[in-house]
Amino acid sequence: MSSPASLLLGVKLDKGWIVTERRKKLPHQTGHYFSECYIVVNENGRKAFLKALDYSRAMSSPDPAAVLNALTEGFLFERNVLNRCRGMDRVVTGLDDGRVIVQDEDNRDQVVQYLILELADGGDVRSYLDVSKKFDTAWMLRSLHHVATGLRQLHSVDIAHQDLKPSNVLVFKATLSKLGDLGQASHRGQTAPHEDKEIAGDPEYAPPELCYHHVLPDWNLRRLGCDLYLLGSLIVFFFARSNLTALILEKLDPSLRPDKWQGAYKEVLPYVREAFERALETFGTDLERHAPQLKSPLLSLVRELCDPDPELRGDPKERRPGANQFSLERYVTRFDLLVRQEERRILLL
Amino acid sequence: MALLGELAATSTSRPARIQAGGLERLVEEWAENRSLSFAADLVGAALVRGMPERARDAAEFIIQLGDEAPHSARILARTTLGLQDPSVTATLPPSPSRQDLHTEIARLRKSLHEAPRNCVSWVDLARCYAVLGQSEPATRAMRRALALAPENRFVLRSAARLFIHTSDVESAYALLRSAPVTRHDPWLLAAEIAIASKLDRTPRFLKEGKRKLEGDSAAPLHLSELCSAIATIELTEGHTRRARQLFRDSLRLPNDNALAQVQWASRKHVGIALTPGDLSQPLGFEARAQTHRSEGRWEPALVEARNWLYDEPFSRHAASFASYLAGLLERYDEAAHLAQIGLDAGPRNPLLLNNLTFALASGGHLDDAQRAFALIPPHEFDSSLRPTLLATQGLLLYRLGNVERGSFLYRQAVEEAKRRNQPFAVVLASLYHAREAAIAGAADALEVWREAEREVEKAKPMPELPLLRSRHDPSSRQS
Repeated sequence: MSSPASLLLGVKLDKGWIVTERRKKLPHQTGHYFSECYIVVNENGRKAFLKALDYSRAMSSPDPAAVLNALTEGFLFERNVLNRCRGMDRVVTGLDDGRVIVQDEDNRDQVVQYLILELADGGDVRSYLDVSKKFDTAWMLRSLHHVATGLRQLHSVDIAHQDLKPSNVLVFKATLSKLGDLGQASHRGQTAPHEDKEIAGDPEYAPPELCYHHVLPDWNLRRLGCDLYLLGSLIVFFFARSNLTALILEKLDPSLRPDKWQGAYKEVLPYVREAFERALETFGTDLERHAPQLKSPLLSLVRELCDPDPELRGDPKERRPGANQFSLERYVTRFDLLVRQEERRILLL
Repeated sequence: MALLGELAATSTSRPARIQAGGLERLVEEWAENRSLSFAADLVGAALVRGMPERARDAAEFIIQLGDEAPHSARILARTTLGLQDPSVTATLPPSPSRQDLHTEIARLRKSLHEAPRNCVSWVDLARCYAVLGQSEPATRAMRRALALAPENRFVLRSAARLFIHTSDVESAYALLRSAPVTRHDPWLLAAEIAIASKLDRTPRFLKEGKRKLEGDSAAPLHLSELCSAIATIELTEGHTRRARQLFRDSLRLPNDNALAQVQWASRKHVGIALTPGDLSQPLGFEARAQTHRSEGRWEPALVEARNWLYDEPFSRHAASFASYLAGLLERYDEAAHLAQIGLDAGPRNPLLLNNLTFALASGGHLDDAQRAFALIPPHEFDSSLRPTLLATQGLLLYRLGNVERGSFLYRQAVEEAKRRNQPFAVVLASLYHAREAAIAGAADALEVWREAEREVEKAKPMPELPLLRSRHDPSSRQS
């Protein structure tokens, strides 16, 4: 028996959307509670991405009530977050949501609820980094500027992304980058379905304190601090195709790594910091080779954004009474400045 | 130190939990997109998850790209394939020259300018200065490390070691006594107890140390040094049986300090001996050097003593032992070099100056030998080193052609050694006197040799005797 969510192809939805293509659920579009993904087109020819919720799966689970509850909570949470993000030009936002009735194979009416989001026509940033044959520093800096702007937009409404990684930086029209997938976001004051997870996003990119299960109760330190680390980590991926957390762990003696360490984070922090500095030295080697003019500013950025101690993360100039330690204002400005300087430099070559 | 587990946590604060992630998704993406970014994304994620096998072909892809792939990505790829040792690599060679140390200091200072909170680098900087004999900058650097991490075991132990090296044992002791973390940490307890013994004081945390041994479920490695420290106290208090048991406990998984302490105890006839297995501990250089020496294996003893000195270049004990062994083997240039390493860290150390003088004089560098000897502070001639210094002075005078005065000083050295109950010094002075008399062609050379033989016969067995006798026997010189 097909699930109702798989029967949407060709269906006309509210507000003129037509379901035109069924998609394999793309990796960067998580939302594990959704079962099917589609491409939709509206009357103006605009394409978008549809995620369809299917309650029928709950009924075949051992605990239908619990699964129904989780599906509903997850759906509502993401819908609320997407609604909060409308108008943010550097975040992949929701365009619409609704419900449609489809007939199943027994001709019974089934309700399918859905979300419609912006469609990234260019996939994620990894494809762009690999397509370009030359080391396009201006493009990378511009993309990072967009990412920082998107994060700032989210933080301004008390939302932390929590899952910023290369596959969630989506490219539009080859020039514009946006943050995708708010499925693991944290909204201050709201309880997300994934709130009890130590690491909201993928643990493969997590900041070191979360790798060591050092979960801080303060929302800013934990959530915003994580976002800053992930932003800094992206810099390392863009310019050295490397996972910063992996680089740090590689520099640590095996007995000090998270899988072996049994003590508190503050006890291992001095060694993590030493490993972090060695990781930056390695990253610096790549910058020296490919973009020596950016070595000093980018290392400064990564050092501030990714400090192994979340209480020391962020711009030092914001570490004053009344200021927001995790403010992204200065970082957006710094990236913008770097973009302009780099574009000017390239023009003069 | 990380290799020995000294940095590892002793207690469990939380159980390990593995949270599901997106690794499978990355594996699929890599299968669909065979390009650098997708390969690198998978490699990084697999390493963080501790599942490098999931990214093997992605890693091979990156390696095959050669210089087209960034240096960082290639490092992670090699780690994935097990081609690179992931542990921290040293930036200094095993036996750093002064130039190496200055280069390393410059590197560390630059790094610390960018990252002033890196307490490990402050400790490394302190160590480099200490090896160069620059105590004040060493202490300043160490105080920065202490300010950043006042409860860190590695920093506290390093600081205590430095203060002892700069002859400020009181500060070392005060540091460990006042650190709140000491009473809970077996490594710090061991250091506090050992330093208290050095100062002839009752350790403040002896009871805590004993309680820790009785009740703690920490791994043997964490308790090894504590066992040997308490065992030493028990031994000095005459509780030999208890000491023996504790020394045995310390050998379950010993670190280098514990091993050296057990080796020392074995020479006190406590009824404990080190096995080859015990001595195979990676950094057990001191223990192995002493064991080889006690069994008359001179070449291996010198090799291990060198390693000990390279591992602890500011250790006066390592330098004096290594230079002594090299001198014993008549490798005078090396003996001088090894003594000089120790003197770089502690310029006025009288025993090292003595060893340097001996090596230089024996090697025919008389002017240098005299200059070195002149640096020994006068008050040391009234200390326990007096017999040794008199003998070395005798050697110098023999080599300068003053046979009568040289002979007189050697005889004075022997008398002083007897008066101070230093049987080893009696034998050494006697045998080297015989050597110098023979080399100088002194009229009483044979008589001096017979005197030496008499002293040797009276003495208890010593590992050096067969070697020295064979070297200094006039009949062997004639042949």
